[in-house]
Amino acid sequence: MKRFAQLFRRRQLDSELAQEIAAHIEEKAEELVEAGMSREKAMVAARARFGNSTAVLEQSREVWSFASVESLLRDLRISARGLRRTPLFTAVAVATLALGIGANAAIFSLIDAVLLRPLPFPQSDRIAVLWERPPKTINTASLGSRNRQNPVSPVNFLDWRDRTRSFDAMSAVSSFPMGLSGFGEPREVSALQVSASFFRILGVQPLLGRAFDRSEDVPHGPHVAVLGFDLWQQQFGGDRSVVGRTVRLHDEPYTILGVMPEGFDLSFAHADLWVSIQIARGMDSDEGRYLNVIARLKPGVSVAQAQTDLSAVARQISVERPYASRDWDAGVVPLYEQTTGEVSAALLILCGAVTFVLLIAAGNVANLLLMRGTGRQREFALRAALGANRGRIAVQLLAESLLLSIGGGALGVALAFAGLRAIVVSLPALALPRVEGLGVDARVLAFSMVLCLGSTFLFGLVPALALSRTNPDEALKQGGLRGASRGHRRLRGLLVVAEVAVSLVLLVGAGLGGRSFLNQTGVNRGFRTDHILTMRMFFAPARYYDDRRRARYLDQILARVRALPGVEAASSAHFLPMVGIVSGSGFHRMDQPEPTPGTGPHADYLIVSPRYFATIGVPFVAGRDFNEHDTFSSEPGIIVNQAFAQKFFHGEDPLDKRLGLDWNIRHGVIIGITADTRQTDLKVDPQPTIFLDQAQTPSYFGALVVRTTLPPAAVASAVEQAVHGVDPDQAISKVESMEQVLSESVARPRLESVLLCIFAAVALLLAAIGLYGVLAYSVSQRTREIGIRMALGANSQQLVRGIVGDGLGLILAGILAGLVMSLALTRLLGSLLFHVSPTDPLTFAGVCGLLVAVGLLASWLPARRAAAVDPVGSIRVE
Amino acid sequence: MTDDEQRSLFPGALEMMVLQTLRLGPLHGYAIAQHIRQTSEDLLQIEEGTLYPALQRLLREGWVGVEWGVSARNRRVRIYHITSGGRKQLQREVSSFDRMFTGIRRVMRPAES
Repeated sequence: MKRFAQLFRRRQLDSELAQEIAAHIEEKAEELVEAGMSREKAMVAARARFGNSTAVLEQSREVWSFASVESLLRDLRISARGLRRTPLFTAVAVATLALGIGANAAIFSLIDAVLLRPLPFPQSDRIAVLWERPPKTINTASLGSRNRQNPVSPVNFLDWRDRTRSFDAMSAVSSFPMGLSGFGEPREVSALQVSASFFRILGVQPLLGRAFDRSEDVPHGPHVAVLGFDLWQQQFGGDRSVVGRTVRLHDEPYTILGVMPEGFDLSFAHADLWVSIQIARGMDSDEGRYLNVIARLKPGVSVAQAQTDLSAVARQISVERPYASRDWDAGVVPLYEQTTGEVSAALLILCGAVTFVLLIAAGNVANLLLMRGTGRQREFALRAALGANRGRIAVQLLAESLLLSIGGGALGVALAFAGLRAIVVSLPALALPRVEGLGVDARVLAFSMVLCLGSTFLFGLVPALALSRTNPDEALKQGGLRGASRGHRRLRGLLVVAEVAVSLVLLVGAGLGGRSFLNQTGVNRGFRTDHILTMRMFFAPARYYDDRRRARYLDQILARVRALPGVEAASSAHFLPMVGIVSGSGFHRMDQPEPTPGTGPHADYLIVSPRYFATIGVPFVAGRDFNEHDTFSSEPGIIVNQAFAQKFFHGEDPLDKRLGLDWNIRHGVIIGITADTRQTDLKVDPQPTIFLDQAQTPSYFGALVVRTTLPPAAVASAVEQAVHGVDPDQAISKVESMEQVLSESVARPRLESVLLCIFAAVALLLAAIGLYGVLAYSVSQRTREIGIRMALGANSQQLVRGIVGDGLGLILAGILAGLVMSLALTRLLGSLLFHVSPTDPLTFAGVCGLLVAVGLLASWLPARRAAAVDPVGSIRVE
Repeated sequence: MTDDEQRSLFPGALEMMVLQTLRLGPLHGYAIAQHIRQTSEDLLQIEEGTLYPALQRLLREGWVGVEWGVSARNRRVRIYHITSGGRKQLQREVSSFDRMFTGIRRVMRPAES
């Protein structure tokens, strides 16, 4: 309160202090006069004895803390005036900072949405996802990075649930598309079959009505559904009376029990609605592994303890059911890790990249401030002589930096906002988990504020300290004060070297990322993507439970589609290439002794219709395709790829050999061999694959591949109509060209490498501006020297060479430092790179060449200006 | 600069001497400076001006009070007096200063011999 009052009494304090100081000096002078000095001499001596009265006043004022706030405000006002007077400097500095802060704000909001925000479930750290872990002998390379996360078989799930002690509850989760009708337009929805405990595990209560209970997730239990908020809004208009009503899903009546609140969803198992899963022992699908499992840990049980518990049960199962589960283990993955695991490495690399951009931006602005400050050294000297102490001048300079970074921050947040929009628009749904929460919000703004303050110190402190260390005597004596002090010049050179080094690291990172991405998209896929239309379907078990009916159904669809104008060929596969999924199971050669159950070899399985290979342009190496003579009554045919033939037949001819299969058809004969294709992901090499005929072992999943003479989009609706001509209720999802499918499969790596390239380009630009600025400034400061040297006979070529040489020296030093840093840092990229080594010489050489070229350009421009100096005029300048 | 010379005492030394001086009775600024100079027998050559920020700090902490008065030479001046808080502070400072000084002497002794 006293200090507050003091603020208002500032004028009074000032005048009192001034009077007091005057009285002090008078007293002293009077004393000296009494001792016999003349009046004038006494006054001079008294003042000398007293010291700098302006400084004393200022220091006294600063004792009161409010006075400091006041002086800061004053400093800001003065700085704003100064910045307005030099609009070009201000614009360049603000734009530079905006790039740095904007890039950081954008990446931060990505990281915040994807990694930092807690999952929207209470005690989400207690929720885990459970997987089966296949033994090492099984080839799971097709699953890529998720190869240790295998879905779970229903019977194993039941054993886990009944025998483990670490979990409060465990729920099976199985997702598939369903046709929704009986309420508004029929449409396809993502349905998740779940156990009754699902909602309890996630800890979320329905918004309306209730969730399932134990009596509803048993076989032949009632058909009940819980709606997701979005579906409720879109399809039912948010009608609260929807609870208790009946809708049709896959043509069967389901009673709506409740509605879940907004935002309730699992990013790895998205759902529009939930229906009860009805599994029990002894079902015919026991042996397939297709369930996801989530569980809630008991209070006080750690993930490691739960892992031990679950592994013990998996070992029992391995002994009890060796034919299906020999040496299979199980894994407990915390939900957070499951949600973010794959993307966190890439996001952290981007985070590193934008930090570098900000460092370079800060370096540049520090350089600009130093240059501007050097020109103002006389002003600082004068102020120091008038009693401003070093701290005051430094604070004044920092105030200027603060204004610049606030301007840069505001512009940067706007940039980030626009950039995020672009990112969200360019990303297909679900390419990034939890990206729906993305945006510029209070957290991002707070982060940007911290960045502003942080960068103020980053780029403001060095110049502030360097410039405030002005010796007033020297500076004022030095007449023209044109030559910047040597120390400042060295400092600026050092900043440029650092900028070049950091941008080299970024360029190398972007170069490696870019090459890796190009390698990925340019890799031999083995199938064509142009003029192929795709769409995905799931055949409702209620209607197509019968194998023959299901097989005939898809045949009918294909017959209609093939008859359409503009369609060259049409077929189906149970999973499309490049969508990350394939089936896998065991098999054995029947001409060799049958292995002990569970120890035989393993391959990918794909169920296709006749002409699948012809449709997507995969040639046969030997044998024949499936045809209309392959039916339920004939011996099942098998087509294998070359990878399979090489791995399991070692040069023998596989044709006409018989294979025993761990599949619902128990065996078959190899009728054809095709060329290799990549199936799950561009990064995954072609895997040994067994192709079976949809007509002989029909799947519930079926994706159409249609080769067209027209652009695929032009025939899409005709194909959909053809499907609905066979069954009007058939749900169809993701009508896309194969090129779209492919492009979506690399959407995330593409985004990552595009962002890296953008940041690297920004870094290069900033470093070039920094180099140019330093050289241009030194030329302008040395106009007179250059003029004299020219007058003394130096020719302009020598001058240009000298200045370009200076620039080149800085660039080379930066490159050297950058190479050392890069070699240390690119190691971290290792696992993310595809077919390119982290020390790829081509990338390194290219980046160095680029930097030298840009550096030469940035030095040549100021050098040319120096060469154009008019010797006579320049000497007259002063 | 002035700041640096003050440092060459040690932070708070000037304030301590001011409080010590005021313990003898209320004084105005110039008289305080006089007294410090005389009692230190000119050993401490402080710029007199530095006294005023120190006095402001003491006022801020409530260790001295001030009112307008008249100097011996009949000039209107501000006269400072020590408060009871100031006396306590002085005691604390002196004892910690003594401890510090003893400590320094102990460290220095081996070098002397």
